[in-house]
Formats: sequence, structure tokens, C-alpha cells
Amino acid sequence: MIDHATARTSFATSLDFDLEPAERAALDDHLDGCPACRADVAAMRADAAVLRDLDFGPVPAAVRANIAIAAEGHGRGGPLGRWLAIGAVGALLLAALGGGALGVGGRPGSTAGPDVTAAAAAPNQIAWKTDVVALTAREFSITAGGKTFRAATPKVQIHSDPGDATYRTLEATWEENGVEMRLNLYFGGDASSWWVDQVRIYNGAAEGGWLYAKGTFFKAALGDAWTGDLDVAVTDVDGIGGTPASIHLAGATLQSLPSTDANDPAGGGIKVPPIAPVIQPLGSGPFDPGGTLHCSGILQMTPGDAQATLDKMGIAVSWRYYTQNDSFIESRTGPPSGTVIIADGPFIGSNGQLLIAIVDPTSPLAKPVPFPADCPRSDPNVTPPPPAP
Amino acid sequence: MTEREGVATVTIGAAGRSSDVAPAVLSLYNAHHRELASFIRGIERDPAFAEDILSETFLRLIEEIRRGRMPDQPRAWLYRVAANLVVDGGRHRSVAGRVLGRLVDHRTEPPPDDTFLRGELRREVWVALGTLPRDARTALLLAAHGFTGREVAEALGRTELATRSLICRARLRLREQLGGPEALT
Repeated sequence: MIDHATARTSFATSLDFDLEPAERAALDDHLDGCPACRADVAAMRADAAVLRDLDFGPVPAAVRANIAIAAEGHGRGGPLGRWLAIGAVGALLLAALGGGALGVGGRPGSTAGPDVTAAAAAPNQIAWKTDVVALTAREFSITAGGKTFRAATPKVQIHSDPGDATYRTLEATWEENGVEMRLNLYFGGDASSWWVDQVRIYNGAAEGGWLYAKGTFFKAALGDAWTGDLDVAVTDVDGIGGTPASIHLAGATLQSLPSTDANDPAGGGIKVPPIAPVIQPLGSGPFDPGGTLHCSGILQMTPGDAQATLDKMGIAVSWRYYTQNDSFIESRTGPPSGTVIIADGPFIGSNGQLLIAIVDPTSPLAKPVPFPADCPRSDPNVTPPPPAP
Repeated sequence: MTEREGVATVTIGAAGRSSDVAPAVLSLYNAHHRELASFIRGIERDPAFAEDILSETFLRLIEEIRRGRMPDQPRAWLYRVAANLVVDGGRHRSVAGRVLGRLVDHRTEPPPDDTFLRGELRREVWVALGTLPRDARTALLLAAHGFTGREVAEALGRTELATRSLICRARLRLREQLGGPEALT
């Protein structure tokens, strides 16, 4: 008969490794006659179950954005930092939300909204929509591998990777001509426009491989749909065959829809002068010594007052709300009531808006931002002493 | 572990065509990032460093795929890489020095009441886990995430015998931290 300590050790081992038959039998014998060890074994099982269930909630979107940037080939990426990644996210989200340019091969988009006249004139051959992208076309075809694909089947699988706007996609997959066909559109954007920077299709072979077209397609201004006709020739970069191949769209409308994953403020705002765009070196921000807002007292205000002050100055601000004890950052167009500004940043977003960090007052991060000691006047938020009688 | 491998079905062209890297990586990220993040956070208490390790793990995956070496078992591969990064945490803490814009150093303030650690027992287990050595934490959490003892040993680069001892001691120590064995007579 083994003792209690040996039984506990044997059981702890048995959770991950097979015991020798004799050891197993000895353990079972001991447990049969030892309620205390049975209780301990049950507790160890419960510990293991709790370890399995530990969950720390969502990962900040910036991590994914960072990885998406690196995976797309823009350098290894490295720890770009939350703010840089969030800046990229914000830029592309804004790209998905705002205004007006000429699409390649298409008609200009309308600032009043999508031009659906052409599409309304005849039934659309395709009408694909996901949470973040919508594509309709009166005529649609793909030529590849000597075959023509028209997506003439109700079984088209439509999917978007909503990404963080650094990696928004529209992906369609269907069976036709006895093979699988795919069409993927990859979206990009900047502070004024959005577009598709890569189009991929399968090559029409039994074991489909990708053919590519890289460039600027479907370009439209922020907030606009792209409408028009488009013919894109794709190339066989990987030498898999299937060319000549191309995509034909007529009477098409492509929209990049606002994502609910994050909500950067849509449009507007005056860039903060005279600060370098996107990521300025530490110490050169608007609130740093020498910066235009250094002595403004804005960071000592409530977020609501700061918003009002910045609005009067014509400076766009996007709030970064640290929730769940800094384990998640939400982008907000306005500061939630009761929040306080903290000294993480502020930074300049990629479209020139100020990114100001805020937390709930109960957060361990909720520490007042000290008024700069080198400013010529006192903290505007400190009540001055009453005048002498 | 094999059943969970099926969570992400990722195909990639021969020799890791660069144009296929992003979809493959992001597909794997979507499938595994949350469980991997929790695994890392169970070991690395600092959320910012844990985040960096998660990023570093996927950046290494990108490099691996670009070299035409798509892991046969991506989930296991990700855990192995993350485990090695997190065990060797000191070296990789230098990563955080490159993080931009951290004017407030809140790395020393791990969340004691993380919203997602619902339930008193989970919180207690998480706290008790923090009293174990880093390699013991890693081994326990690898096991918790479905790795067999042998796979834990492979991931940690230890012998099976040493790993058996490591995990066994870790389980017993964790139980002691959580109230110890019942009174044994």
C-alpha cells in the first residue's frame, strides 16, 4: 500500500503521462480506501479544468493590425506599438468611411452615395455582400485556363476578412466548369480615398492556384461607392499556368462598408499643425515642450471640456478608451462620460487627428496629467485662491 | 491536440508564395490568437509583454512561411514558439523597449481583477499559478491546452523524464497554493 504523498504524486503524474500498470494499480488501491486523497485528486482535476478555461478576453485589434502589416510584406513589422498599429487601423477605417475620386476604368463616384442607375437598368448578375463589403455587377465574368466563369450558381460562398482595415477583403468561392474558382479583392486606403490594391483569381485548373493583378482598382473617395466598368488582366507570377486570364465587370458598384469592429470618427477635422504626420518622435508631439498645445491645459481638462476646446480650435480628436484595465483599447468618436485623460500620448493619428487616451476614473491608470511646470501660466483647472479682502 | 488542429484549415501554395502569406497567417491568427493569448497571459503576467510575445510568435510564423516552411501542425508550432519565447521572457523583454509612445509605464500594474477572469476560483488559480516558476507555469498551461506530456517535453526541449517531474511538482505545488491536500490521516 502506497502512502498519501506517493498517491498524490502518482495522480499528479497520471494527468499527463501514462503510469506503469503496477503504479496505476497501487494508486487505485490507495484511492479506494482514502477519502482524503480522493478529495485531493478531485481538487487537482478541478485545478486542471480551471487552467484550461483561463481566458483573458479579446486581444487588442492593434496586434492583428501589426501582424497583417508584416504579413502583407511591409517589413517584418516587429512590435510597432499599439498606437502605430491603431493609426494604421484608423487611417484605413477612415478610408472606408469618407469621400470622391475617379475609379480606374470606372465612372467617378458620387459624393451623394452610390450610383445605382446602371445597376438598376438590368438585373445584376452578381450581388455579393458581407458585413464590410458589397459588390454588384450587371455583367461579371472571369476568363482563366481557357474557360469562362460567370458565378452562375447560387452556391457562391462570400466572405470578408473585416480585418482592421489594413486587411479588409472580399472573397468569393464557387464551383464552375468542374473546378473551383475564387475571386479575392484586397482593400487599401488613405486619408482621402479607398481602393482595391490587389485582385486575385484562381487559374481555372483542377488544383487551383492564384493569378494576380496588383495596382489601384476601384478607387473612390472616402464614403463613396465605386461604380463603373472594369476589365483587369491578371498575371501568372508563380508560373502555374492559366493565362491569359482576366476579370470583366460592367455596371458594377463596389462599396466598402463601415465596420463595427472599431469606430474611428468619420471624416473631417483639421490636421494639427505643425506636427509631422503619423508617428512623431517622442518629445516632438503637440503637448511636448515647444508643441503648439504644450501650455494649453487641455490634458488637465475633463475629456468633454477638452473635446469642446479642441473643436473650437478646429483640431480633430479621436479618443482611445483603455478598458478592462488596459487590456483592450476602444476607438471612440467622443469620450464616454466620466472618463479621465491619462498621460499615454497624445499622439497624432495617420490622418492628423489627435489620439488621446482616456480611462475610467477607477482604473489604476487614472492618474492626472500634471500641468507642465515650464508653462508661463498656472494650471487653468486649479481654482485660484480667493482674492484678499 | 490533433482534434484542435482542425480548427484552422489553412492551405498555402508551394514554397510559401509571398502573396499567400497574409491570408494563411491571418487565418491562423483568427483561429488561434485568443487561446494563444490566454496561454501566454497565464505565464507572462504583464499584458504588454504578453501582447509582444503574441505578436512575435506570429511574426516568426510569417518568416517561417516566407521561407517555404509552413508548419505541418500550425497550432502546435505556435504554442511551441510562444512557449519558448515566454520561458525565455527576460531576453524578449527587450522587445518592449521598442514599443513606441509609452509615456506611462503601467507594466508594473498587472490587472488583479481582470474582467475576463470571471469567478473567484479562476482568479485564485491564476494568482497561485503566478507563484510557480515560469517553466512550470508553461508546462502546466501547455498541458491544459491539450498537449500530452511528451509534447510538452518536446516544446520545452526537455527530456520526458524531466518534464514528468516538472509537471508533477507543478500540479502539487499549485494545489498546495490553493489550499493544500485535505487533512491526511
